[in-house]
Amino acid sequence: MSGRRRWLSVPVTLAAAAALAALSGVPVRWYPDAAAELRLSWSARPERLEVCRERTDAELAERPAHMRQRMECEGRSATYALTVLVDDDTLEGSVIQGSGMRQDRPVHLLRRHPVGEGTHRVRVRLVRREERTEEERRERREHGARVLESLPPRAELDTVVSFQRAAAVLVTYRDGAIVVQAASPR
Amino acid sequence: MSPDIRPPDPRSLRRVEAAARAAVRALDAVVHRLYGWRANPLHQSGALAAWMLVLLTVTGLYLLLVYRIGAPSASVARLAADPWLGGWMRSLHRYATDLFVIATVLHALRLFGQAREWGPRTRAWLSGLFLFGVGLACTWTGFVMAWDSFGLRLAVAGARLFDVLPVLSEPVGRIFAGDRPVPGAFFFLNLFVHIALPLAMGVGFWLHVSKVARPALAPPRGLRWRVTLVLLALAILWPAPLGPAADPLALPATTPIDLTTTWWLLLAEQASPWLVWGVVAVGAALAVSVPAFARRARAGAWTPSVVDPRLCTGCDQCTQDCPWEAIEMVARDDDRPTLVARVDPALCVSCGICAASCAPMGVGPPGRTGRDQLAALRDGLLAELQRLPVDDRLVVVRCGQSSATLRGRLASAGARLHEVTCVGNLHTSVIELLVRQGAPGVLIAGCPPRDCVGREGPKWLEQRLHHEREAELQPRVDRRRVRMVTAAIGLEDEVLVELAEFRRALAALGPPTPEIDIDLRDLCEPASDEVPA
Repeated sequence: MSGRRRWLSVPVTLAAAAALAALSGVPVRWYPDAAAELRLSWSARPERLEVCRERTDAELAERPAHMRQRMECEGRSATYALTVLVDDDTLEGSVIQGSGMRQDRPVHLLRRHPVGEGTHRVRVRLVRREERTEEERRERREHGARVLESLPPRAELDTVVSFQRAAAVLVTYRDGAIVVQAASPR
Repeated sequence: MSPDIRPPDPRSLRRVEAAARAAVRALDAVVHRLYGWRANPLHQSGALAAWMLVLLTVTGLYLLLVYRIGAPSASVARLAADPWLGGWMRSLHRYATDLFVIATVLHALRLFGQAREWGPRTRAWLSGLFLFGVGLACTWTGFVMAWDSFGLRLAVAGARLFDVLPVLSEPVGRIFAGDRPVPGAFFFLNLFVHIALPLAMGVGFWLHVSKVARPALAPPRGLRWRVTLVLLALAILWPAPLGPAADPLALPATTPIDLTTTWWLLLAEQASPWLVWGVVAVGAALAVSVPAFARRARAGAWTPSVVDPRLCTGCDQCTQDCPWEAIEMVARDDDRPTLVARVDPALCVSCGICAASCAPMGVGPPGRTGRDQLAALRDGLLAELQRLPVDDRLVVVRCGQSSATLRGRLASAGARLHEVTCVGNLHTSVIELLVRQGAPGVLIAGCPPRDCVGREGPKWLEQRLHHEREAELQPRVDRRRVRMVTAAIGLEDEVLVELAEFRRALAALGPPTPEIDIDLRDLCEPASDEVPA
């Protein structure tokens, strides 16, 4: 190897090392410059709509001993219509339901909506889609505690929020209401 | 299979292979010119990746001591701010990760280009893919551990991918939504995975080298410490970036990302998660199926070695020399008291190293055993030599893997060329025969030792020439008339310089002394009483 090449190897090594370091921290765009975001995030149990009846003695007799429960309940989880409006723009109109194969697990919601910087009127509306029958109303009264834990038939947020640049405003569901959680200070 | 779906044409893969080979050779040529072949890190890419794992383990153990699951970003920020130890330790860990990924990719590219990924090497290829995949997953968890804006970005992208899979009832993405603190369990799990994955890599690494005799587990000492020092200097002078602490409600316009290890991030963020999974699945399937498509018929140059039990003396040398542990000694089925060599064709890569390790020439790929080499020499080059004046009889034995440029330039320089598939395949009797039959000298141009497709060809030949390794060049051959030179791509000039210097040395020696012509075939024929009836 000639001396000239040997000396050339030094700057090449330095350049390769510099390239390694530079590639280790390349600034790459994540969010648009003036981005603000309306983020909806919560987990809550959907309301259980069920009708119960007592089994007859004959029905119970047909069952194995360990399955002879008097009360039989059939039901389903409620679904909800979610509407999100910022000023007069509808950002979302969708149906949400419980997770799991039978949709009987909690509703896990995570939505991100880009919003322009500034002050906006935000309306988030959650409305149960199913009408309750008289039977279900009765059941609801009897299972009051569990009902309290679940999403109400209707919840709404209507407020004015100041959206700051490069920050998200978080809307969540807490204690039976849809509320705004403060955005991170910039 | 649907009539519309056809398996890929192996010829297409051959074209890709040829392109990879050309790329590897071009890179080698540049690096050889800059650093010389001895210090070419590309030849050591696999060993370099293994060395990076050692560095990662050492630095990782220290980082583990100061990492706090309860305050991940604060503990890493404190570490990065420590100028004495923590700062450069973290950066060294990061840069070693980057170099591990680069070295692994180069290693795979080299083996793919050299068609060293199929047949008996399939296990090494597949375990290498596993190591690469696990390595990438490990970098992912490592960056998340730091819990800066880049770590959050990776976590969000990962959650986006996993949340479409019907595995978890609660979407992982909600953890990073900001409505509640990220649970410590997440950081614990992440740390656990970050530590468990390298353990899995240990198993993968064992599989990777388990079918290789004497694997090169570390680069040569000089290269090893040079690379380590360069990384260390880089870590001190140019610390790896650390973004601001992760804030789920912040929307930074940019984050510094490590492109070497997380080049997939942009796709993971922009494309549909199912498309990303599709790309991953198709990419993995293609990579895994490469050995199947690269497979050659076990004929011609790819025929496995065979043993002639009549000639095998049970000396065990081929077993010792085989770089793939494809030969074992077993009991004979005749009444001779020795063991006999047996080649496992499923492990043999047809490198031909064994052909040169056997003094009685009883083993090797058909057509390339010592006897075949002698026969070919007598039928070809020897007859040609006899017609030439003594000064023009200098023979250069050239590895077929060396460059076509070298072949042309050697021919132009007036050397008689004799090509072998690997210099480790060259039986020393061939050299002896050349010298005895009037070649004033034999120059053997082999590949750089760490770049030999037969893995140990130049090493074994050098020992057979000068260190009396079995099937050694006989003492009666004048060693001054035999010389080895490394023919590295891009350094053809050095071979020609060596050739000219060798010519001068031979001229000073004078013409070769005529010796009694010994028929080596007779010499190597087993005694009649050794041959079973």
